[in-house]
Parts: sequence; C-alpha cells; structure tokens
Amino acid sequence: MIKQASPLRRKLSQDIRLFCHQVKKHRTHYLFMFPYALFFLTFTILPVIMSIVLSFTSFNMLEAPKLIWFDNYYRLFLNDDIFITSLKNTIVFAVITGPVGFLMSFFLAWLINELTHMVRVAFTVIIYAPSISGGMFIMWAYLFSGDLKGYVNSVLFRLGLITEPILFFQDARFMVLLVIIVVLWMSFGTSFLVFIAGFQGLDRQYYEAAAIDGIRNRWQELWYITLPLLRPQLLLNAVLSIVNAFTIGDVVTALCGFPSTNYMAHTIINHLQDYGTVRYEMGYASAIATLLFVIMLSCNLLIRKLLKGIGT
Amino acid sequence: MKKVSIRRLLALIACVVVCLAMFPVISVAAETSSSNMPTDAFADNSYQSYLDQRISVGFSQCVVDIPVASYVQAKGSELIEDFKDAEEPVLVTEQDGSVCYEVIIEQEGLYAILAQYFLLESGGKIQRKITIDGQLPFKEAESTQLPRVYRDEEPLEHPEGKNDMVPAQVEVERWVTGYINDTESGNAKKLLFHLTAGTHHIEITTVNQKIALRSLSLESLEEAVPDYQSFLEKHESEGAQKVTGVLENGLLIWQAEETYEKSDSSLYAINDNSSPYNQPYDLSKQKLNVIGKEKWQDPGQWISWQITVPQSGLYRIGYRAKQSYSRDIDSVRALYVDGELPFREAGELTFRYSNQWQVLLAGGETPYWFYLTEGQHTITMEVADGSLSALLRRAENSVRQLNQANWSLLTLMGSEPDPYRDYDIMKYMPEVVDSLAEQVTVLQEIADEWMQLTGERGSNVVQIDVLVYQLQEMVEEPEQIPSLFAVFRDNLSNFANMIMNAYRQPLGLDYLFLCEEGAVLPQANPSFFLSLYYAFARFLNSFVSDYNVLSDDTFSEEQTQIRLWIGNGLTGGRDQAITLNNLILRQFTAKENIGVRVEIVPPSTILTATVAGEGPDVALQLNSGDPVNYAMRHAVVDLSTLDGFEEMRTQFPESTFTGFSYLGGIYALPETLSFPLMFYRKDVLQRLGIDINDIQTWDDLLELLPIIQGENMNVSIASNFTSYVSFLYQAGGQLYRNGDTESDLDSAVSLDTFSRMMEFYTHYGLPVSYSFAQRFRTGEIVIGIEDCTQYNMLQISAPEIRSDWGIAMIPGTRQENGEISRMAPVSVTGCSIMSSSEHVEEAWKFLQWYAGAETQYQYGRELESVMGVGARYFAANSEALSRLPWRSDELNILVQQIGKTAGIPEVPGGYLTARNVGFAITTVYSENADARRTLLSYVDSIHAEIALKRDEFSLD
Repeated sequence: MIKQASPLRRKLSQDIRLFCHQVKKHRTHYLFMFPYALFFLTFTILPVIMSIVLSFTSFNMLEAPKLIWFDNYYRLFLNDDIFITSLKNTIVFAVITGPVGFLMSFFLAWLINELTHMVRVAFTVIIYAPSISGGMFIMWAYLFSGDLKGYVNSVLFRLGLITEPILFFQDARFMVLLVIIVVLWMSFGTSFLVFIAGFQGLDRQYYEAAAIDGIRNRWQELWYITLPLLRPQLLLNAVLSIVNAFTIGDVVTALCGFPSTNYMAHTIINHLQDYGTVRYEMGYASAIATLLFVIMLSCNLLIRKLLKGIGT
Repeated sequence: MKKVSIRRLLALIACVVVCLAMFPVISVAAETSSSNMPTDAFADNSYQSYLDQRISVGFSQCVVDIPVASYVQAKGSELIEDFKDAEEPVLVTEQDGSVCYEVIIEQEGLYAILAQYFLLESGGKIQRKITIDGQLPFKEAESTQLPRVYRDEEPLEHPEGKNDMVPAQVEVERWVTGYINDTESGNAKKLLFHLTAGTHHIEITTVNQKIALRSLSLESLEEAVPDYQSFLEKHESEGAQKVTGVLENGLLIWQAEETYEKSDSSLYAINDNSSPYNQPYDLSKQKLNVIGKEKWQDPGQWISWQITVPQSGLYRIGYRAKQSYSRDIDSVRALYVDGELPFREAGELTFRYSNQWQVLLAGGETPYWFYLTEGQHTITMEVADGSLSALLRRAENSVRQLNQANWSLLTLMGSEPDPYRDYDIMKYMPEVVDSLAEQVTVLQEIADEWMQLTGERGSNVVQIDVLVYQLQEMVEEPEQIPSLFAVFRDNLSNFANMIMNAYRQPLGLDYLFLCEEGAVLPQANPSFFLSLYYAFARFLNSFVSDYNVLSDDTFSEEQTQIRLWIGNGLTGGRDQAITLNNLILRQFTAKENIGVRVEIVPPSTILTATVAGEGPDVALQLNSGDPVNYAMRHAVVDLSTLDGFEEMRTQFPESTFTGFSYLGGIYALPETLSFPLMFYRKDVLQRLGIDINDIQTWDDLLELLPIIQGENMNVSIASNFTSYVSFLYQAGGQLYRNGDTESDLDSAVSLDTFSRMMEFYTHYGLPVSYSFAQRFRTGEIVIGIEDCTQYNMLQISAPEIRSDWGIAMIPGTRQENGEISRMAPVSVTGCSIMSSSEHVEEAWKFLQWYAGAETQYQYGRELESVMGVGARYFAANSEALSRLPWRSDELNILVQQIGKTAGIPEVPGGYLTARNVGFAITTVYSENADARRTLLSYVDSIHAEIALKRDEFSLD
C-alpha cells in the first residue's frame, strides 16, 4: 500500500514546484538579479545575522565565542552608563539633525526654487559643496581650535569676551552643539539637491488645474499638490537623514577626539568602536550593533507611516 | 563768573590727575620692558653681520700652511704615524678634544680654512668649533662643518622585471679636501675669518665625528678662471679639434643616476614615472631612473660621474633635465671637469622653469665646447649660488631688521595687543617706526630688481609687495600698529620662509651626454599618442601589481619565508618599508638564507587578519599597548622563553620592557622610544639672563616664570597623560597598586601631584592647546616640556633657528633626602612574533638581527639619508642610539634622560587610565573644577574596568 503524503507536504512540494516554475519562466530576470543578490547576501544579510548571533556570546576575537545568552543586553541596559549617554546623544543628534535638517533643506529648496535659474545654480553649488568635499569638516576644527590663536578664540579675545582660550571641542558646554552644527552643515547638501531636482520635475499643469479647482494660497498648493507629488523624494530623504543621523561617529572622533571628553559627545557608533577596536569585546559590540540595527529599522517603518499621511 | 572759572579749574585739575594717574602705569610698563632688555640685545653675532662689517678688509693674496703636528696645545688628540699613504703623521682628535695652533699672519685679510682629512667614523656631520685668540668670532663658529663625500656602495643595477634597489650610501675611503663651512644653517660654502697681521691662536675643538687630519692651510683668494672666449682660443691655438665621427650617433650618453661620488647621502637614484622616455622605464616595477629633484637643491651639493672619453678634442656637453619647481627662480649649476671649472661661464649653467623634461646643451643657444683628453674623466655638477643670491642676502638683512622691530614691538605690546589701547609707539619707540620706514624702500628695491632678473612677477615677488604695502600702512599711521601687528608677524614669517626657500634650486637629471658637432639630439618627450599609450598601459598594470608587497619575487623556492608586516601609521610608511627591505635583502636574507616578505599593512588589521589565519609571522612598529593586548589573547609569543633573549635584553634600557611585560612574560622587543625633554631657546634665555642649568626643579621653573611672562613670552608643558606621569613618578607615586590589580590614582600622592600639575594651567596661565613648533619658532614659547619627537619637528619646520635652541632634562622634584628626581615615563614601539606563526625560530632569528645594535643603527642612518634630518630615529637600542649622529652634548642629555625613565605598565583594562586622566585635565581646565575631586571621580570607573577585564581573562 502506498503511503499517502500528508496534505501539508503536498502543499509544500507544490509550492516548490511553483517556485521552480516561476524561476524558469523569468530566468532572465533572476539571472540579472543574481550578482547583486549574491553580494547583498554575503556582505549585508550574512554579517547582520552573524552579528545577531555573536551578540549572545562573549567573544574576544582570538578565542572561540562563549554562549552567554542575554548577559550582554543586561549589561548594556542596566550596567553601562556610557551606553545610556551615547544612546541619549545619538537620539539628540538624530532628532535634531534628522528632522530639522530634513525640514530646513525642504523649505530652503522650496524658496530657492522660486529664484531665477542662475541664482538657483549658484545656491545649489554653495549648499551642496560641503557634501562632496568629504573631509572638509576639518576646517571647523581650525575655526574652533582650542588655541588662543584659533579663529573664534582669537576674535572673542580681541572683543574682550574671554581671557583664556576656550577648548571648544573638549569643553562639554560647546561640544554637542558644535557637532550638531557641523553635521547639519554636512548633511544639508544631498537632501537639498534631491528636493531641488524633485521641484524641477513637477508638472505645471497640476497647479493650473488646482487653481481652477479652487486652491486659494501657496500653503494649500504646497500641502495638496507639491508634497504628495514629492512623496518619493521625501521618503528617500527621510530615510537618508535617519541613517545619517544614527551613524554619526567619525565626525565626533575627528573633531572631539576619541573618545570625547567625559563621553559628552559619544554616540552609539563611537561606543561600538570603543568595544570593537579598543577593548576587543566583540560579543558586546555585536549587541550594540544589533540594537542600533533594531532602532534604525523601527525608525524607518515609522517614517513610512508618517509620510503616508501627507496631503490627506 | 568766578564760580565758572573755579569749576573749570577743578575740572582741569581732575583731568590732569586722571591723566597722571594713568601715565605712571604706562611708563612703568615701558620701563620694565626696556630695563630688562639691554640695548645691545640684538647686536647679533651672526656670521652675516660679522662678514658685513669686515668685507672691506678684503682678501689677502697669501696662503698660510699650518703643519698639523705643530700645535702649541692639544687635548684628547694624538699624532698617528704611517696612516694609510700619508708621509707625515696625521692628527686624530677625540670627541670634545681640541688642538690649538699658533699662526703668524703677514697680511691682514679674510681667510678660509682648508683641510685635508680622512673620515674615521661614518654617519653624522663633521662638526668643529673654531675659536680665534680664545674667542668665538661669530655664533656659527660653535659648530662649523667639513664636507663629507659619499658613493653608492654597489653600482646601481636595473634587474629585468624587478623593482630596483637603492644602493647603500657609504662614505668614500680616500683623502678629502674641503673648506670649513656652514652649509647647515644656509651660510657660505667656505667661512671667512678675519685675521689681522701678527700672531694668532686658532683652536679647533671636535664637536662631532673623528677624522684623521693630514694638512691645514689658510687661504684667501680663489684662482682666476678664464672666460669662455679665452678658454676656447687657448685650446684651439694648441690644436684641439672639434671631434666628429667618433661617437656612436655622435653621442656618448651616461645615466645621471649611476653616480661616481656625491656630497650628500640623500643624493641617490630615485624613481620618476613622469615620462616614459626616462631611462630605464618599466610599466609596473619601480625603476630608479633619475637623480636629484628636491634632494639636490642647496648650494654646494654636488654629484659627479666618471666617463671614458675615446679621443681627445672638443665636445659639447648636454643633459636631459627638468626644473618644474619654481617659476621665478632659475636653478643654476656649475660644471666641473676633473674638479676644475674649465671657464667662468661653466659656473652659471641656468635651468629655466618647464613642466616637461628637456634635452639641453650646456650654454643653451650657443653651446659651449669643452676640452677633454682621451681617457677617464670626472664630470661634476654642483648647485651654484643662484643669480638671485646677492639679492637674497640683502633681503635677509631686511628680515633681520624687521625681526628686531618685531621684538621691540612685542615687548611693548605683547603678542596679542589690545587694539583699543594707545601704546604711544611714536613716543616710546620712534626708532622702530623709522626702521620700518627704511625697510619699505629697501624691500621695494629688492622687488624691482627681482622682477628684472627673472622677468616674471611670480608668487615670491608678490609676497614682498604685500609686506611693503603693509609696512607703508604701519609707518603712515603708527597708531594702527596694534591692530595690524598679528598680520604683520604672519607676513614677516612668510617672508623669511620665502627667502630661505628661494636659495633652493631643485633640478632633476635623467642622463648626460657628450655630443659631437652636428649630432642629432635625443628626443626629450614622446608624442601625445605614445604618452597616452604608456599612461593607459600603466593604468592597466595597476590592477595586477600589488604595490604593498615589496620584493615578492626575489626568493628561491628552498628558502623558508616569513611574512613581515610593517605599519603605515605615524612611525611607519612606504619609505621605512623600502629602506628596511633593502637592508633585509642585503644583510639578512643573504646571510641567514631566510626570505622575508615585507608587506605594508595598517596595524589595526593585525588581530582580524590573525583570526582569519592570514596574519603575519612578525609584526613591526606595534604601539606600546598592543603587544600586551595581544598577549592577553594569546596571539603573540612570549619572547623571554626563547634562546638568547637575556642577551638581547641587555641591549635596551630596562624601563622599555615594562610596557611589554604581562604575567611574567615579555611579548615584544623595543624599537623606538618616546619620552619628554625640555626644549629651550638659547638666544632668548640668554637675553633674559636665564641659565638653563638653573632650572633643576619645577619650583625653579615657577620662580623664573614671572621674568618670562613679564616679557609676554611663555613656557609650555604638554597637557597630556605623559606629563602627569612625569609628575607622579617624580613624587614617588605609581599608576597601579597591589600587583597591578587596582588603580592607584586615588592615593594621596596621585591626587596631590595632579593638583600640582593643573596649577600650571589654571594658576600660572600655561597654554593647554597650542602648536609647539610654531610658537617655539616665533619665540612666544621659550621653554617647552614636550615629547622628544618635537626634536625632529623643529629640524624640519624651524630650520632658521637651528643653532638657537637646545635640549635639557625635564625639571625634577626635590625628594625628602634633598636629591632631585627627574623621572619621566617612556613609551615604546615594539616588534612581536605572532603565535600563529609556523616559523617561530626563523622569526626570532630575524628579530634578533633586526633589533640588534648594528641593524638599528644602519636602519636609522639610512632612514635619515632617505628622508632627511627630520627622520632622526630614536632607537630603543642603546648602542644604536648613541652611534647615530647626535651632537655630543645632545646625546649626553638623551642618555641621561633615558636613564631616568620608567615604563608605563600595561594592565588589562588599563587603557581607561590614560583616557580618564585626559578627561580630568580638560574638565579641570574648562570648568575650573577642583583638581583632586575631579580626578577622584574618575577612579571608580578605572577600578571597575580593571576588575571586569581581570574577570574576563580569569586572572583572580
């Protein structure tokens, strides 16, 4: 007697057959996708999974990892003040540079879009320049140098406002503010460019039609027409600025040193580097990375939700 | 009416009182500054002003021979009979020894000292101190030099399909004749001494390097050299013919990089890929195909070549050269045949700016004929005084005048003058404004002449114009000087730099040739399409060649190979790796039959690479904390268990091993040292009447601080962990207690010393953040307790004050028994063997060879010859360090300070110590917090981290 396959198994084998059939049918598509998929799998998906696995272990890079379950996470949340500081800093940076940078670049693009062609081009170049010139933020280190001969210190001293030079990038009172300014200055360009391009691509017909349909002022125009049409750009920029904001780290190191005084400008990325490259606690570093991954993922989802509401 | 006038009178009196009350303050301020500064403070005793004053004396016609054995007094000197081929006995003077001669001068005049000598030591500069009648004639006489002559140890080879190797540069073993000179501080190739008629005592003291002296003479005038016209007429009348049909294609080419002798060890063959017509040329391998460029730019530097001339007669001489360095400064070379200038014009061969290689004939449009007899000849090309040199000397004089004005203004106003205060310069220092006005005219003249000479208004001339414009402003409105002062000082230092750089005349040479009449000159550059082809081929080759692996193809199959990683960080780099690779191939592989594969890899990847099984056998230039960090994770080999370790250990100061020890094992051999030294400005301290030997303790320094700061100058102590540890060790404190299981920063002594150190910044106004080299150079900082690497920094960035600064041991702390402790921490880079290595035995052999005195010395010396004086190597190996070319007084200080160093122990979790002390320093400074309490607040986290790490490595 032939044993009947269970319905579930039959369903499964059916699915596989269907999948194989699909692949065969669209094999050119899959072929085109294959190289990228391979790289994405090995260099993005696999490391993420490995990092999640390692976050449950104690691993010093040279000896085999030891499984310690949730100890790393307990320590992270309950016993690591510096992590809490860095989480706070990262969120402060993210909230200010992300949405603020996003809104500022949008409104600036909106305003500049009204100007004549040549002026627009000039502004675009000025605003975009910081983003292409990668290491240029170092000029801020010179501007706000802790030396009495640094530009800002020198000016303040001549005006009689200070008698001793201020160590801007070591002094807790100035550090965070300055880093925020620098990050804003750097991140501005790309999103600005995307918005300008978006504005350029808008079809004038919509505005004419809307005027006939009874749009009364520019604000209504912005809310009901411009923004919905710009949704793809908005989404792109929002995601970019969140990612940017959460991965601030090198700028802090370059300006404030590693680590910054009293960890005042320490970000999650800095914390990750500290444990990964100085203390060689890879398990703990993986836990930090995993957490950062989760935070960024949820922010992403949240933004998608928010942007769906535009123009309604 | 009366009331009004009384009121007026009262107002007037009040005004006068107020004015008088202010006046004394200003006048006292002015007086104190002038009383501390004798009026002759700037009567500078430099060679230049010595010569300026005496140039009217003129040269004498006579030559005065001084037999070396005829000295009247000698110290640490001996006469040696039968030295080499010398008929007479020769004189050898030990370091710090001296000889004194009595000479009778018949005719007053300026004399140069010519010596013939044989080098007995290799390495550093031959420095001699010259006194005449017991006095230094000028300050440069403190360390004058004698020229050295170098050659390639082995002839340069161009093996097919391999990278070329730079031949070692060694001194020639022959008698050298040269003038006492001072090319080091940019002065003349021969120093002139003024001697009146009568008897004089000339004393020569050995500062550095032993030589065997064969003869000495005082000479004055150079022989007259004929001009080209009479030179040619003379030879043509003697029947010399223009040669034709003898040379192949009418040309006899020799490669410029294949030298015979040279004046500097840095004049070795270099690689240039800027043109595929450079000979030889390879698409992917490094061919050493040219010579010179920026390494051949200072007046007096020469290169010679030996050629064989097939037939006597008149030839033209040509070269393929490139001067792509300065638009408004021509490079000038003198060409000597067998050491003699054939005619005057051969001393002024000019190379104009061009961004392309050029094939030129000596003489340009109307090429010169040179007379060469059949047989071997030496052709020498020397950097001549450029066409601008007279002008530059005047400009230098101008710089000196302006510097004086700058100093006078500095003492009145300080380096950051208050723009709202009236300093009344016209009243207190009218002469300064006058001298500024004078310089305006002088500089304008210089700028005009410069433009006439070079026919271009380049960046250099513009710089003079800027300065002139600013000076005019200052002269016309002296009350504006305070607000213009900062910019003036910048402009002045730029101007001084520009003058120094304008003496430089770089030139690259590819090959030279003899040329017959009517011969077709070689093509200098390929056509556009050929260039394009070569560029593209090079680009394609860059995908297959691994430029980070040196010498991969030079080993045979049977050899054991070890992999060596050298970092590319601050201490390492491509130049270092190439130098080391050359040394290895020449001396290690050849002898031990062990291949070494040298790879340039960033040090941070070592651990990850080891995990992946791709790590090296040997890692060099590890930072001080790394070896122990790796040791905790069992990644490096305990060297103390290997044979011959104890013997190696004795070669290094004991303190260097502290940072490499962990649980009784030692995990690295030391390479380079870094420790604090006290740098001081000799000239300024002398002016202030301060003797550096008076500063024995920090308290001594504090006592002198008012004098220094009263002159608007300052002292600096690096505000870092190292300085704190110096204070701590001197007070008898320690960083860790209980067998390195706990931090000791919460002990009373640690807190006290921290508070004491911070007072320097919070109470005494020492700068926290500053550029040391820059401020030391301008004289704003006159004493600095800084890391020893600043020594190199100053060599490069402040060459104009080279003879004006010195080093000393750092200030100490007086102990209860009255002794002074001058302890300082030392941090060390090291080299380790990775435990994953399968060739530990060979790797250890390599380390023993590498860290040994001989190799470290040679490595240090070659680095310096490749990279210049700024690459002085602070070798951890005691013998190697002392053999490097230091001045004897400097070496003395170094040895003393190194003897007073203690290492910084590396404990698990110890990285928090340096980090938290750094935090504490900035917090105390920025927030004016209490030093003791601040430091204490950081100690808990250090305790916790150490405990955590000890737990991780199961140490308790």
